[in-house]
Amino acid sequence: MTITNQIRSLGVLMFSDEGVLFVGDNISGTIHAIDLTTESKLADKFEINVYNIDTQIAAVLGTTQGNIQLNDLAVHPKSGEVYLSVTRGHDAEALPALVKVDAEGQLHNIDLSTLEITTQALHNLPDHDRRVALRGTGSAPTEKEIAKSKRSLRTLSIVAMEYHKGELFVSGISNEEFCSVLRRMPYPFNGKESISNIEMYHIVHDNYESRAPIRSMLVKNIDGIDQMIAAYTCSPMVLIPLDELQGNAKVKARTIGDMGNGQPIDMVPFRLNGEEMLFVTNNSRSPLVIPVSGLHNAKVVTKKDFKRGPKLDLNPLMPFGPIGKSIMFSGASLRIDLLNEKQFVSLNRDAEMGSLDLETVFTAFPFKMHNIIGEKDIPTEWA
Amino acid sequence: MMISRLEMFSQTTPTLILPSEINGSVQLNISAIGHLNTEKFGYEYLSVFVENEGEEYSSNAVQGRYTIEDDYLVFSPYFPFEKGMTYLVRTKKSDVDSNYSYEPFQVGNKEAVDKAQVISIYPSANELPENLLRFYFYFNTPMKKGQALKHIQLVDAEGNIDKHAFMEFKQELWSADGKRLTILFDPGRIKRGVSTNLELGPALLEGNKYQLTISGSWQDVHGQDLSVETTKEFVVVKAYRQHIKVNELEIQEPVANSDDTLSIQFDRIIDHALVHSMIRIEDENEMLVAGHWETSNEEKVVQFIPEKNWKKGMYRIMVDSRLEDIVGNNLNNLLDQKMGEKNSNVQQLIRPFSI
Repeated sequence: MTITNQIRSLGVLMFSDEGVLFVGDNISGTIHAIDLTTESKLADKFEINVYNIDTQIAAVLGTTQGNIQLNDLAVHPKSGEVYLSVTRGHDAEALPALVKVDAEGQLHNIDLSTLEITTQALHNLPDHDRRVALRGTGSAPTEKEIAKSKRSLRTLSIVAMEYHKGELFVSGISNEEFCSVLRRMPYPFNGKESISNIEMYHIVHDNYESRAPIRSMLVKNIDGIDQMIAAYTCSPMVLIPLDELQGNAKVKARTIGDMGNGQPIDMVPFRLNGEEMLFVTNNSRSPLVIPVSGLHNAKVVTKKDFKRGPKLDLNPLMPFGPIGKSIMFSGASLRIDLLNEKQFVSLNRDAEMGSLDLETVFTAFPFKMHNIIGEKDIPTEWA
Repeated sequence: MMISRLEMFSQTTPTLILPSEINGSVQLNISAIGHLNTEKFGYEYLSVFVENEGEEYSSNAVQGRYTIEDDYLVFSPYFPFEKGMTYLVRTKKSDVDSNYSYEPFQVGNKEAVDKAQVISIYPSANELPENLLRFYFYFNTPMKKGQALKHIQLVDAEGNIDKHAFMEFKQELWSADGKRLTILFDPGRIKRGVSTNLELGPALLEGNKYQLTISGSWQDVHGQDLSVETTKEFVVVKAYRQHIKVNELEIQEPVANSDDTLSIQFDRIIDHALVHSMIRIEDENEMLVAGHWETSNEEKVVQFIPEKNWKKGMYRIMVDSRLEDIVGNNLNNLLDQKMGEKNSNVQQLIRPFSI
């Protein structure tokens, strides 16, 4: 079918409540909406644990682990099955794949040619040949720092997505000078989008910033209005009233907190003992559990509220604001979503073995015992 | 002699057809089985597994579509087979309760088809000037990028590796097809009196012998490595410090009504990659003469091979001023210019000849 020819890459995933899967395609500069609304509810609760999932997905796609990159994960709101966006192969020969993990932990390549897909093209995207800047912490750039600098800015076109009341919100960068943008478009797609430039005060850098993209975000009703809660790298937390995202506005986000150095990955809403919470993962620190109640009436800060100069993690002011508590986690979560009322499903880098595993963890205690050996792991003679 | 139906069958129709191309399919003859519900039993009769490191096969079968074509159950994977990778096909040749048979296969033999290798290195000469600017490496297959300087080394006669000989770029200089790499010597080492030249000295010293090595562990984009180390040995001779002088070129002119090659003899080695775009021949009506350029005699001779026979008349060889020798000197400028030395400023130089 011709539609799959338009799909060049599959990156960020976001489900609507009805089961439409939105997928960011940075290479073609589009969002694809894949209709999975006919999937039905499965068992109320199930656990999924698939170890060495990268090797297993590679086998299903007829290749080996080194030729596979897992890009994002999302749980179907009805079936509870886990969808993973995958890149198979490298460079010009890379192909996109969508893989489903069912309730039994079985893997299924989704044949996109059999599904109904609509596509929205994004505008003002960064050129493919513009690159990330080169910087490092040592005397000379390392191999990995050089590799990072070869990354096309185009791959930051679509960084995070949120679906809210018939509209899709997409964060990323554009081809403009103040390039951090928040796009807003209706679904079903009609080809139209508004592109707002977002500026925010970055407490750690002591700067107003407008280039770095929002890494993760979601909409909540805060102080009586719908607001985007957005997290940035190193790691401010801001609020943006949705009403301000109109036309092609320049919007000043309200900085209310800073989680400390690091890069947020996912922001997952869940309930803990009846209270609304956010679970925010980060590629450089433990996840945070943030009560939504703390975001109400939060003090909005600007440059005037701080002494001049950068503030790193060890500064007494940091972390700052109503950013909740950090929590023990099993290894490192690379991508996470809510599996059911009580559990997350997470793509985890194992702390001991380094393997890539899909694991289910409890929201209140997101941990797997295989990573530690403590008092209770040593049997007594009388046990 | 009577041939039983079964024998006849086995002689004329293969039971299992394995793919020869990456987009191929695996086919199992099921005429002995009869009707088959592919959705339910396709996998049971025919499935393909990937070999992981060593001899271990994945427990997850490769996924794809099952169809029936004539007497065959056909498995087409969702994604192309990988060249050179080992797969295992598992089949049942009679009823569902029979035992599995297994057979390994590869698509597109790695050794025979596209074995990654270095085809050539330019300049091809074994005597190279002290202020040499670049090397070109040609591969038969696109290579993995971003690791060239891990695999390419300049080694002196004592076996010392010069880690700072070449320029490190954010983006390596690859041709669009990924098969040609250009490596530049650090110009700071070449230019006299520049800081790196003073600190480290020139990378190449006249009279000394060097080896350029390309490691065998460098992989192409398909993940196959070059497997053998490639070495180019050369001796360093006097630096080139003069412009290319078009008027002193020796030209071997063709004969009318022949398809003779026109040869231009340079007094030095010319950058072979620029030859194709920087020299052309026009006839007396200022029309471009069709043909192509080649280099010979270690890139000191540039040859034009015409498409058609030469006609009697006046011709002009037009040399773009940006044509460079292998140290980066062009018709106007020297790469390493002395203070106060004058440049010429021409767009192109013209050498007329007649047949």
